[in-house]
Amino acid sequence: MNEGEGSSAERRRQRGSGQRSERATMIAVGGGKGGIGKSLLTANLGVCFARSGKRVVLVDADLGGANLHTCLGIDLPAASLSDFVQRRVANLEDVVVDSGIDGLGLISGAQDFLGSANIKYTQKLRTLRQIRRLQADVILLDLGSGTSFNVLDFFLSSHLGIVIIVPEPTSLENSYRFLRSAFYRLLHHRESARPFLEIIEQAMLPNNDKAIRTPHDIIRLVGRMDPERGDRYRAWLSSFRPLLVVNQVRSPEDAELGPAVLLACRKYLGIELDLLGHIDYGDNVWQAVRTRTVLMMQDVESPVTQRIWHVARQIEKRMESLEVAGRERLKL
Amino acid sequence: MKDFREQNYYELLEVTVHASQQEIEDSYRQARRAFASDSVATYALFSPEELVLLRRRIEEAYRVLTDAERRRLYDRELSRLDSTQWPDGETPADTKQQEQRADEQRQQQEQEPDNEDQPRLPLVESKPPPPADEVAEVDPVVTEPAEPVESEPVESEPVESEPVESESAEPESAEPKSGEPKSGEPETVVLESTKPEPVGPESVAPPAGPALPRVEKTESGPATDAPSAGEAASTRQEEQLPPLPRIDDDTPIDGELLRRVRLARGLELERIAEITKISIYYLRNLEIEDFTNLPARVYVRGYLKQLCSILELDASRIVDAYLARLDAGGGREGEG
Repeated sequence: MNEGEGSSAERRRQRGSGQRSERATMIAVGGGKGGIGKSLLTANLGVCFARSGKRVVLVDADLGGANLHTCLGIDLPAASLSDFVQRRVANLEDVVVDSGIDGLGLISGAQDFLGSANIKYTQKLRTLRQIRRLQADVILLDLGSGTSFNVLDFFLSSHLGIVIIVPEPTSLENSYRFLRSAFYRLLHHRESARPFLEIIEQAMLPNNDKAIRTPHDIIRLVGRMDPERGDRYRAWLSSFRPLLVVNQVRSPEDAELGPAVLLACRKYLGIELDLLGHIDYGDNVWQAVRTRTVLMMQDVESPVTQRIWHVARQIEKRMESLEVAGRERLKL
Repeated sequence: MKDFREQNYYELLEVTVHASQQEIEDSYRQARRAFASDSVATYALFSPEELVLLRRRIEEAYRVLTDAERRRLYDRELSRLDSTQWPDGETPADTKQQEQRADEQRQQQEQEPDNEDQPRLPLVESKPPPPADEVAEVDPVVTEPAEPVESEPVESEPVESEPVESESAEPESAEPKSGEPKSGEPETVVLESTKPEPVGPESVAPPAGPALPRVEKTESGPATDAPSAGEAASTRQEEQLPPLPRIDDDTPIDGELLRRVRLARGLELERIAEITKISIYYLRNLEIEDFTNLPARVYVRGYLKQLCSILELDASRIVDAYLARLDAGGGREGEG
C-alpha cells in the first residue's frame, strides 16, 4: 500500500461524500461520580487512539467543571465549547484546538456559564449535531458527573458509552444511579404515549410511589397494560450495553470488582455491562498531571499504561463490531 | 434478563442447562462473592432483604444442581414447562433436547432407579443420592423451614445456609457458614443419614417451575386441597396460587387484602417474618386486624412499608389507608 493511496483514501474518509457526513465514532466517558479519573482516562485513551493512527477529537462536555486541557498538560485554550454554545462561533470545528499531540484535537470545556449543566434543549441538540459531524475518526466525550438530562443525553447519543467506577461504595452508588437513570431516559426518549411516559417519569423519581426500583419493575408494569410494549422495552433493555472500566485498582480484590458488578447489575437492574478491563492505581498518574505531562506519552512501560492500552484495544474491538453491526444509538 | 425472583436455578447461576459440575461450582463461587453482604458490588442496589433472598436462592440452586439426582428431577421439571419460559439464549432446540434427555432419563430410571448419572458428577459421588422426596423441598425459597435469620443481615456471612451435604463436595464452602439453625434442617439431616424408601419419580412432588420460584406450597393458604402427589403436583404451585386481588379505588385496604395478596404471592407469614424480622405475631395481627395487639403506630407504619415492598404493593396506597383504618379503630375489635 503506497502512501499516496492511503492518504487519498484518508482524505476521502475525512471529507466524506457530503462534507457534513457523520463518520466518527462517538464515545462518551461517564460514571456518575466526580473524581474517579474520567478526564484523565479520556485524555489517555485519546492518546492511544491517536497513536494508532486515528484522528481523534476530545470534547470536554463536563459543563461547569471542565479540566480536560489540564489532563493534556496544556493551558486553557482561548476557544471553547462556550463560544459555540453561546453562538459566538457558528461552527464547532472552529473551536477544536491542537493538543500538542499528533492527531489529537481538543474542544475545551465551557468555563463561563454557571450551572451550565442546564444548557437549553435546543442548544444541546445543536451541539450534539455538530459534535457528530466533527471531522474525526473518534470523538471522545468527557462527561460531567451526576445524572442531569444533559449528561444522560450526551451519553445516550454516543455510539459507545463508558462508565468508570472505582472500588468505593460511593462510586458504585452513583454509577448504578447513573445506569438506571440513563436507561429510563432512553425509554423516555423512545416512548411517546402518555400513560407510559408517566410511568417512566415516576420511575425517575427516587422513592416513587409506584415502588419502581428497577427496569424490571417498569417492564412488568408496562407489560401488564400492553404486553407488546413490555416486550419492546425488554428488547431495549437487552440492547442497552454500556461499557465498564474499573479504575484505581489497588488490590487483587479490587480487580475482581468488575465481574461482580457485571453480575449484580445484570441480576438486579437487568442491564448487561460490557467489561473492558481495570486500570491499576499508580502514583505516576497524578505525578504526570502535576508535571503537566500525559502519562501515555511519558511512562510507556508502567502497569497503568499497559492497562490503558488494553482498554483502548478493547474499545477498538467494539468500534469494529459497530461498523459491522450498524450504528444504532439514540438520535436526538 | 428476568428479575432474579423469576429466574430458575440455571438462570440464577448463569449457567446453561448442560453446565458441568465445574462450571456450576465456578459460577456459584463467583456469585457468592458478588452477593456477599460485605460486597461493594451490591452496594446501593439490593436491599438487605433482597440480598438475603437472592443468596438463599443461589444457595438452593447450587445445592440442587450439584446433586445428580436432584438436578435430574429438577431438569425434568423444567423440561415440562413451556419453552417460552426458557431463559434468553435458550433455544427451543435446547429445550427439546433437554426434554429428550429427561425422557431418556426417566425411562432409564424406571429400569434402574438408583444407578445413573453418577459419573457425570464425580465430585458428589461419595454422597448418597438424595431421597427423592427431598426434591419437593428444593425449590421455592420459601419452602425451607423458617430458619432463624441473623438479626443483622448486613453483617452476616455471605451465605446463611450452607448445606452440610456439600462439605464432601467442596470443603472450602463450608467455612463461611454462619451455622445452621438448631431448629432442625430436615433437609441436611435426612440427606446425610437416611435414605427413605425410593419413591417412584412420578409420585415425587417436583420443584417449582422456573417461572414462579417464589411460590411455595401454601400450607396455610386457602388453596391446599391439591393432590399431594403425581403429575398434578408439578403444576400445582402455579395453579393453586389464588389470583392477585385487584386493587382499585373502591378496594378496602385492610388486613384481609394483605392476606390475599400474600397468598397470591405464595408467601407464608413465617417467611415474611424471616425476611423482615417483624414478629410473626404482629404480622398475623396486621392481617386479622387485631389492632389492640399491635405496637405503636410508628412501628406499624414501618411494618406496613416493609410488607408492601415484599408483597410488591404500592406502599403509598396501602400504608396510609391501612393506618387510617387503624386510627378509625376498626378492625376486629371494632367490628366484633
